[in-house]
Amino acid sequence: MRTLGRTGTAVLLATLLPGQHDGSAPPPARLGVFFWHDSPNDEATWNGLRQGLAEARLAATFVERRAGGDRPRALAQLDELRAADCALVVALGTEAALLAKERLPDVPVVFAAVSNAVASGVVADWSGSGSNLCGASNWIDPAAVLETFQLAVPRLHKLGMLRSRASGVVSAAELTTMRERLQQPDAPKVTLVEAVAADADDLGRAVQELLAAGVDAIWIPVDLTVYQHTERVIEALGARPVPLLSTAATAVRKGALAGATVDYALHGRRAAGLVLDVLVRKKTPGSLPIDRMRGSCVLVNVAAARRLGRELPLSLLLLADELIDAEAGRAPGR
Amino acid sequence: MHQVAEPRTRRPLAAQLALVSLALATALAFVLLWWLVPRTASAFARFGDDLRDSGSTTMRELLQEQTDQNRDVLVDLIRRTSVARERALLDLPLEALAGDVAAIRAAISAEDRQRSERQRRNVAVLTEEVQRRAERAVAGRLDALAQSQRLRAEEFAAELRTTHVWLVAAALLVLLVVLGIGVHHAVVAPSRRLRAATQRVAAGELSVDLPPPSADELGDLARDFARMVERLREGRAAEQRLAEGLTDEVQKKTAHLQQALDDLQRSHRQLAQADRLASLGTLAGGIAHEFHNVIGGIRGCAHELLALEPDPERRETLAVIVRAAERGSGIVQQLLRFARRRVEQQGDVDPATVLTDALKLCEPAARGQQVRVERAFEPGLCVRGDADALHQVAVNLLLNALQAMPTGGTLRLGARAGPTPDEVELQVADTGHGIDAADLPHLFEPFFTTRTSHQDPSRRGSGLGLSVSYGIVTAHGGRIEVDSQPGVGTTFRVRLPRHRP
Repeated sequence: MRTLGRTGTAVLLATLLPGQHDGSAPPPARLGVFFWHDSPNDEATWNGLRQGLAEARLAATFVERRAGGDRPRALAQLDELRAADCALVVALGTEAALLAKERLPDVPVVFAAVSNAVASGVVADWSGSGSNLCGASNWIDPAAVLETFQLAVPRLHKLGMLRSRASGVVSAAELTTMRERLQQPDAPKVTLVEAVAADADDLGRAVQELLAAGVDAIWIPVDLTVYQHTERVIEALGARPVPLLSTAATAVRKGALAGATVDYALHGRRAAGLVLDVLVRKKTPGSLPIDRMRGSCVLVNVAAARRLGRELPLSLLLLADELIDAEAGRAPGR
Repeated sequence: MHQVAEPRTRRPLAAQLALVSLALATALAFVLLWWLVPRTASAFARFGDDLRDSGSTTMRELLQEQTDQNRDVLVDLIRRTSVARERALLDLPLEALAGDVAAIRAAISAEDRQRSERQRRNVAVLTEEVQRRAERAVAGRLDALAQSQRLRAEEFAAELRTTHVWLVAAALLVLLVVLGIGVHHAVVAPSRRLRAATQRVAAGELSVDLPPPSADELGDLARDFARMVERLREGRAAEQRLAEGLTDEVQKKTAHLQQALDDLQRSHRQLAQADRLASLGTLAGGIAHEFHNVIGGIRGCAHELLALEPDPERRETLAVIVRAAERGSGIVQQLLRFARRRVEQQGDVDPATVLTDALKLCEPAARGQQVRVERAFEPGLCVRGDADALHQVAVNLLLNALQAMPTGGTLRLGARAGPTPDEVELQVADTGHGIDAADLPHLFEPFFTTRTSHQDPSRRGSGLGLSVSYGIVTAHGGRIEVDSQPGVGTTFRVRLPRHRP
């Protein structure tokens, strides 16, 4: 349903909202949609949010802005959204949420696709922002992430996180969360090291840094700069059979061995519920707790396993919500 | 003598060996084909069955494993799908739909569709992965099976190879043994026989007898050898015949000489004996003639005195003188008979009759001594002479014989033509105690007797019987001979000139 365009608006013709079936349809609500950058996760979240609004038959128009990772432009676009008199602004992504919090203090903002709203500083507490912000976090329990990683790499003792300075906010939050988990008494004996690349061109060096540290696997977090260039990371690994693990679905789809992430469509639909709470049920955004999903998605790249010469346990394959095989349909015997 | 026949056909030794080898190889090939091929085929069949069974077992196990795995995957997939759906429904913000059942149903349905779509893609990948793993597992099991079967095949091949090697070795051994026997029979044994024969011939023995030669080179050699031996035999036989002729001639001459010497010696002895006996006869005749007259005078006077003497005692004494004179006259008569050189009465005399008549006189004594009498008289014999004198000779000889067999024996009487056509031989033989060789030369001397004084005086002879017989026989132109062996017996032969009336 990516039919709305990057900057244009669209009108979603929907039936009346619940409780408003009196024959006089209210005017469609104008919603601002702000993207910090073009992220598959944000896009999936946006699609889910629209699906949720459609399922709730909310008539709305959207004013969509995409900053492309450019801060001045982002600030300008946020100003435009305020000027557009949007009833609510949806901020997709952690940076977008932080910018919206900064730039739109007087407009209801529903954020989504924010990994750890607290750790990243979007809100101070999971129970609510107490301000004009509310939203849904695609936070995943680090224990579930580690469990998935260990299922994929049973002898995982040293995990290296590869992150970037450019997209460091999210990955920093993930790093913090994972470290907190590893410090817990029941945590598995896994050492976490990190390597920070300045940009995409610096990924090779960071990979070598991690390899030099003797990592058993490299974790690609929800870091756009990194997971968008997963191929470079694989290239940097060369013939070293070090598997890549990720919390970004894109990285797994691009060649990482396995990953734990959220169903961004479902996440978007949950964010739609918050929009409805604010717009229809007139709840104060600051009073709404930060939404967190219960479940997570496991992705497994079967082709990557073959490339690495690994045979993943069948239990992991059965556990996977998404099995990826670029060579599917071309396997011998098919 | 062994005849060496030329063979009709020649069979060279090499050809014989080649023929035997070919026959043995053919027999061996038949045995191998008959024994080895069926067993090898059977072994291969068993091996194939084993391979099929192991393959079948492996396939069944593999199929079972895959079936179990697929079942487990399917069950797990269903379970996990259900869990995932429950989790998704928990995360689905249905409360935001404010009880709008249609919206809720639509939301759930949309979620299910999305999940189903993902699940469909996952199943596709999972199916390929499971199949890939199954193929790897199958390949692994097939590799293991192939490895196992390769090992079994190698073991089978090794076993088969061992069996074949032993069998071929045994067959070769049999072949070699048979060939060896054949070579021994065809080459070695004939060569040894030929060599032994050669050595015997070299040692001078030509009586070698080779078996019939074979029709090969060795047979040719044996035939040549036999011909050579035959030539040697002929040469030696000729030499032997020559030597034997010479020897026979020498022996004959020697025998003739010996016979002549014996005859000469016998003649010499006979002449000497005759001469001595003649001298004795002359002496005895002279003495007897003188004593005859004296004794005749004494007897005449004694008779006259006896006739005139009335006194009985003197008559007795005169009677004694008369009897002694008569006995002395008898002795003198006998001496005269020994010394006489002529036959008083001439007539045809049958020797058998002479002996039969003499036997009649002696038969009572013979029966009394348990002597068995055997007679062998040739009819038609005749001598010219004094029958009484010859009768006395026969009686003397019979008495001597009976006296030599006091405890029984056999008395053989014979009359037959003599050793020469002009002689007749009378024979008196006993199985008595015989006569010592030292006594034989004096046997016909007057008064010589082998009966000593300690013997029964009634059986003691006068020593004139044989000398009288000698004189009678000699007077008839014959001769008397004696052969005796102590403990065996004595044979007297009287040879008289044969008369053909």
